Amino acid sequence: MTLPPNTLLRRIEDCLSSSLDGEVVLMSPSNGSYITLNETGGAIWTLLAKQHTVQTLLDALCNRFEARPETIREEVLGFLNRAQEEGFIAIGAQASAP
Amino acid sequence: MTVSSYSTLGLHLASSIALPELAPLAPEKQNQDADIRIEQGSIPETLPEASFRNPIHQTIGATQHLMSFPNIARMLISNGTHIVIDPLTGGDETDVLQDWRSILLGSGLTSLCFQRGWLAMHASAVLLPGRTTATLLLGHATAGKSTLAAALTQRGAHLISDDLSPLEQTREGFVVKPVGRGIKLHPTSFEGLSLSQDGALPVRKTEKTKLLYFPERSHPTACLLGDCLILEEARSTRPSGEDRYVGATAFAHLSNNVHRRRAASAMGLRGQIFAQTVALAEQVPVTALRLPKQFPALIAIADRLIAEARDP
Repeated sequence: MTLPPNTLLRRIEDCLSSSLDGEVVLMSPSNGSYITLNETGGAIWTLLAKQHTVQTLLDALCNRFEARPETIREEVLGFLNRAQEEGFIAIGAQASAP
Repeated sequence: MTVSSYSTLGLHLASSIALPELAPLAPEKQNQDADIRIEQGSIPETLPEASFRNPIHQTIGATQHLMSFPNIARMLISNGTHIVIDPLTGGDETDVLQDWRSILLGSGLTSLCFQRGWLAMHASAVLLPGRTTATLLLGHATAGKSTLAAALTQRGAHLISDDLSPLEQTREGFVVKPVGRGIKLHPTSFEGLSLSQDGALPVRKTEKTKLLYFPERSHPTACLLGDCLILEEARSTRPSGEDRYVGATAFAHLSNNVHRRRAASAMGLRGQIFAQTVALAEQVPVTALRLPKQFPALIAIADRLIAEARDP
């Protein structure tokens, strides 16, 4: 999966989520399936409470985690792909340049 | 028309269809108004204003739920208080009535519980001797929930519910509602626990399971839930033992044991069920018990649970 850095990301509004003992559980509004997020997934989900682009999301995560940027990018894109398929996030149009 | 009164879910149920599976209402409560009514009547094939529709379920929000069981019956559950059942075939009257009752007391009561805002769990619930709070027994369809409940009841526990265990979320915690029905057991469980099948009622014409009653060991009132035990089969990779499940793991296991989730989804209750299951995982200890799928192991667990029973 490749996404331009300025691609807009947002949570699906009616998606159900809850934090349990530090883990985030999401339930799909469309089919009732649920997923449990690991630490990185939980951090992404928390960040996506506000609108981000792929680049601002990666910047925030690189500041937070001590992993190589390529590793973080790979994990983030994998998460975004799955979260979009399950109906938890929307990957939208590209943001216009500031 | 004869109307009989029964006690289920801690409520007064008045039914024009005889339901020998349920406990009769105590004589001193016979004069009170019924909380739930069940009757036989005509039901339309479709709910014109349905907000959800598939071949089995049609719903208007959580207030009206029409279920269709091909060649058996249609059933309309309304407002958590009223069930109408409409037979679809002839056939042997005894068999058909038996299947109706199975539908009424299974899918019908479960839907009614959801309409009342309760979390319907696929579980058995018992009150162990020396305890003031209930224990919920969970696990997949053949994990041994009912068999363990029966073994515990043989050893002094009281049965609150089997198969359907409705939970009401209150300020004090989750409360298990007594269903007032016996335990559904397969013939091998009767044999494995040395229980007599005398007086046991067949569940459905196509099933070998029977309902066994422990009249002196039924708990007739609602009971605060103390803990959840999830029965799992021991394997070479995961040998016998127990684990405490917390957080998302506890949620996932509890969520898998919500009764008739498709019906709840059809009623638009995914959000409510999700929030209640999260609260249950946060408030009630969840322990996995792994044991071999053999009667001696299950009986040993029953003996241990009775010996160690105390409030958490």
